[in-house]
Amino acid sequence: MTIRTLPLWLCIFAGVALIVLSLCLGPYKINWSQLAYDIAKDNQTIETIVFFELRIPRTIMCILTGVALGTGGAALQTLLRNPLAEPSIIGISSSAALGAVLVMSFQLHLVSLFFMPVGAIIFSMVAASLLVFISRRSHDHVTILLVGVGISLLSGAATSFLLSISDNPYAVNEIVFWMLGSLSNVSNDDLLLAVPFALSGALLMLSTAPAQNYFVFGGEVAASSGINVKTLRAKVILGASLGVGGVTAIIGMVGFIGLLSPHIVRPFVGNEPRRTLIWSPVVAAALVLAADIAIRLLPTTNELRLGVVTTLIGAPLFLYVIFKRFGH
Amino acid sequence: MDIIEVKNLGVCINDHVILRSVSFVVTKGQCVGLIGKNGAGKTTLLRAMQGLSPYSGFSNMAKMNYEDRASFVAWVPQIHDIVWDVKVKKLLEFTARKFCRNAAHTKQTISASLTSTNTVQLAEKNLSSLSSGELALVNVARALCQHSDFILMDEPLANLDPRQKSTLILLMQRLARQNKGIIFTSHDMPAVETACNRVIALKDGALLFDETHRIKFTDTRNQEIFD
Repeated sequence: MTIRTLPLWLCIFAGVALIVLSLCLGPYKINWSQLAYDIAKDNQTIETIVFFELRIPRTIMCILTGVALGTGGAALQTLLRNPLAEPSIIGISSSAALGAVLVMSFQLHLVSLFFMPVGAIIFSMVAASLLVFISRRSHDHVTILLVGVGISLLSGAATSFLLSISDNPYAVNEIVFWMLGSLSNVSNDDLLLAVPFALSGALLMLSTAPAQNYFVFGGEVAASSGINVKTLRAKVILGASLGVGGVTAIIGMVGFIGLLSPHIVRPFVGNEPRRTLIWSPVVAAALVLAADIAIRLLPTTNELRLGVVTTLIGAPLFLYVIFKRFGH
Repeated sequence: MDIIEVKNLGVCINDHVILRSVSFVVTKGQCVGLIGKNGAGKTTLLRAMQGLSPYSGFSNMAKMNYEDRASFVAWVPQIHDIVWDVKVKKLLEFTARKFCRNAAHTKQTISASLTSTNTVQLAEKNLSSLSSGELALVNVARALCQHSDFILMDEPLANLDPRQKSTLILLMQRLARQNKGIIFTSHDMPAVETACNRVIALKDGALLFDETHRIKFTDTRNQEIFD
């Protein structure tokens, strides 16, 4: 721990505070002594239901979303040598969204809610497999980025197509709202579905951390330093699709977190790729928690959508970070 | 393994032959200048023999696993852009840590690499603040941290000023005396004359000549290579 990384360590404390806040805040005011009493007596009351069925899954989902998007953004930026890279730019988020929209437009989610994450993960895996296939054949990072942009545009167009041919206005409305991203209806079942994917994805990406620093001078130098670049690339892409597919399936599209958090971390770690990857999920989780708490505190009639808030806060913050770094 | 062995190495990209049937053996202690006009296939040869691009034929180091190859050969490509702006010292540390026994060895390796490339004064600077010549030297310093038997360099002299150039030439000569093998591409014939104890020339993707002694570049010889 050095003076320079102090703000990042403070971010952990802020994160813990945000977790506590996230558990406390909401439309229903929990009576904590009542809750403790009910837990001790094993009573099923409104206190325990709100706490265990709403607050806990919502808070965990916030953290999970941050971790998946934060690691995804940092790992992809280093790997593709591009400060603009993030899971949505290489088509993973948008194909996950396409999968979920496909399920919704055929009303399969009314049969079972499990179809939605399954659809999202299948589609993000298809996109990821295509990317891994290309990346194993090509030595060129720009190719991967271009293929990703292609996939992203294609799935975006397919989503729009599904929306425009849908004859069920209710479904269209639901899809559009879902795509804006929200944490308000996360249940424990959703969580069980997302955790294995998001966690294994994030761990897969974090497992590449020791090798990340060799990429400062590009993939060739990394390969000559003894890194199996093709395997590492496959790990990052697979990890990103598992992680991002897992959370997108449950909460919809959440923009800017993956792009923003590595850029916040970099000045504090001297641009070191390995430490950027390690700290980025911490910062991202704190950002998502903060955004979600802001949503709950703002006195709006309808709860704001998470994706909207992260982008509204994220975009100006991102511009500020970029101006500060490159503006002179 | 003590030699670099390349046999019938060919590279063909989109039905376009870039390199045809190149064979040679380079031993430790040799400082090889790889020359030829632009587009002769020099960089392609260096990349293909490390297995960094698709190739046909045989190359002993392309067959090695990643870890073995890293301690056998270090690669110094030309660096055109800096994306992650780390400190020079950090960059060397990333590599040195992996190839050194302990912290003391790492520290000593870094300072030795900086000294021998005459870049000690750059240690605390960020990569983006370096001139292209300084960046090229730092790139060589990074490769030295790998403690490899061989070093392959792509146009290492290209952006250097006369003083940096003589630093690098002296370094290459010293490394060869210390029984390391070096192959580098260059268009700088006087430098190749001074530094190299072997010269391999490529023309249109094929071997033109392979002289295992110091050579002088006369007008007729230059004409043969560059026409």
